[in-house]
Amino acid sequence: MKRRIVNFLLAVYAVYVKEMKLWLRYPTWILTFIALPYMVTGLFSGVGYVIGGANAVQNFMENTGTSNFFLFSLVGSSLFMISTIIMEDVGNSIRAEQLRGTFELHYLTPTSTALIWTAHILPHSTISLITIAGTLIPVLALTEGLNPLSIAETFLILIIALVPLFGISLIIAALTVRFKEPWAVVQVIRALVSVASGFFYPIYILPEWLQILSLALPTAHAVELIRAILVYMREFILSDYRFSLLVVLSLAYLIVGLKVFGRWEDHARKTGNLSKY
Amino acid sequence: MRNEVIVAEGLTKIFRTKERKGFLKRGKVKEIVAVDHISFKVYRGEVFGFLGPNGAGKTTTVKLLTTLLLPDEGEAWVNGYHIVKEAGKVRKTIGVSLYSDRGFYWKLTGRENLRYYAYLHHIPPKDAEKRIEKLLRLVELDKDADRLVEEYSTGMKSRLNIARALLNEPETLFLDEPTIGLDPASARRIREIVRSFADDGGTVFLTTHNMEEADQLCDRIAIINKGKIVALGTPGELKEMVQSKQVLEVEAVGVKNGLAARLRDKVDVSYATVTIVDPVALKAKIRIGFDGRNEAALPAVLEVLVREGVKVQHIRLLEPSLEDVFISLTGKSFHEEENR
Repeated sequence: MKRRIVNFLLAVYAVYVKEMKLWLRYPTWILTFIALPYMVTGLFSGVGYVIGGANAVQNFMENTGTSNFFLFSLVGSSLFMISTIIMEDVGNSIRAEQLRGTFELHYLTPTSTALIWTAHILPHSTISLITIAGTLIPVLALTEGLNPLSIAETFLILIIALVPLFGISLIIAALTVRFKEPWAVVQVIRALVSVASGFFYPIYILPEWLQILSLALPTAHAVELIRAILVYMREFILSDYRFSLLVVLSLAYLIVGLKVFGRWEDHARKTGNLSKY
Repeated sequence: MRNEVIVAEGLTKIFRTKERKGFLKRGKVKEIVAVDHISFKVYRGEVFGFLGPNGAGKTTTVKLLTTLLLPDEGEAWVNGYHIVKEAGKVRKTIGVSLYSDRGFYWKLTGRENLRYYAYLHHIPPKDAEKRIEKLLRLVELDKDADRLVEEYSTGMKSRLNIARALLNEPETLFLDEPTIGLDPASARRIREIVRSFADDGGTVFLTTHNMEEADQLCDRIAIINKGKIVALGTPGELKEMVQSKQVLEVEAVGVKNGLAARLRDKVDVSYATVTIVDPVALKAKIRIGFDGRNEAALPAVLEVLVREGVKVQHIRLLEPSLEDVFISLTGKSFHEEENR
């Protein structure tokens, strides 16, 4: 039993160190990821001004009940960016591993590939926390003030929200390696998640059927919860029903993602698709 | 009784592919029999060569035996474990090198790459460091261990690949074309490592289409063509099959299409193959095997070449090699697509 735990931790550590080194040896992306939400917020402000005139931001704040449009939008665009990157990144990473010839080699080790691919959540979480902290903390410090409990709650929600994204990304990865170019499917999933998660607006402005759909999207709950903490200053958000729903959805999406990917692996061992790229 | 390390019984792999016609229309499903009911045994301490041209089924066989592919028919055991029912146990006892210069994270150093795979092989950190150091010395990469792999030459990557395959101290080593594209010094070093691994009691299953390598390195060789084993034996036993033959190798320019067929038609030769060396200058190597007792064959061959307008540059008589074994068994050379 002890040996199993050690082997498990060793594999998780190996994946974590490898991924972090690969990320950090391309360092310029960090600045890009931190800056992008600001650019998206600026873009929305510009579009809003053109459509709604000089009162656009004021109207937005009245309609959403927020007093901090900038923070509202930054939270949404940061989460939008992280969800987009993670959903696409796992598929892209696996394709890159196939091209490099490293993908198949994982199947020659005694470590379960389900563990290897799931362990990638940790480095992704670290990267996401670094970028979201780099984006939000300066604005929080300058506007609402820094509350350690709120920040801890935000990070906890973020980590939990990454788990289902990883599940979705495993499904996308299976589609990517199965059909080689499933970009149409990927873009549809991404667009659906983007529209129904309320990254840039409150979910209640959506049509009813989309609001129902958004209940099944962990990103929608993560956005609402993090906004409730950081923008609307609600305390002890972990007792909110959305938090329980997020935890359940996280596990469900991860299990479904691993099942779909596992089925693809079985299929690939029959057809030789593990090494075809 | 010899200790059987690999046992394959009727191993078969069929790939299914859809033909494409026009823009949208898909044709019928085509079946490609990559490995066709092959059976063989490999014994402990042996370097067993799988020799065949590109597309013969060598890599597919390696992937079946190393659990990366599931067979459609047949069974196999590696180190006593069933390749389908006990895949996990097979993986623990084998080392595999599938590509000579691929399979690394380019933004990690050689040492970091080995460390990553060592941990996935459940080797504790302290043991991993010692083993990595020892292997880096073995493959002569200890001085370059902390450089990024993207800076490595092809030969260095190949040697790193061998080091990775040896990380888990395997009982059996599978090497797929380990010296392909390497300079002579790197290829020699890899052959030395392979030989020494077998001399220490390990078993090596090696695929190659380099006949000299197979001849020098392997204790026994299976010749595979179109998914079937066409001959199996020691290099000496295989060469005995063509011992009575004489082999003539001609280097010439101005070689026209169909020369090999015309030679076979007009002269009593066992086989004739033409391999293009320079397609622009129509330069080619012509290899002709004939019965050593047939004294008329040599002048008759030269007569045909002169009549064909071929300009002979070099001509020499050779000892029959494994290539001649392959040609005499299959009627074609290893470089079929280049034949005329």
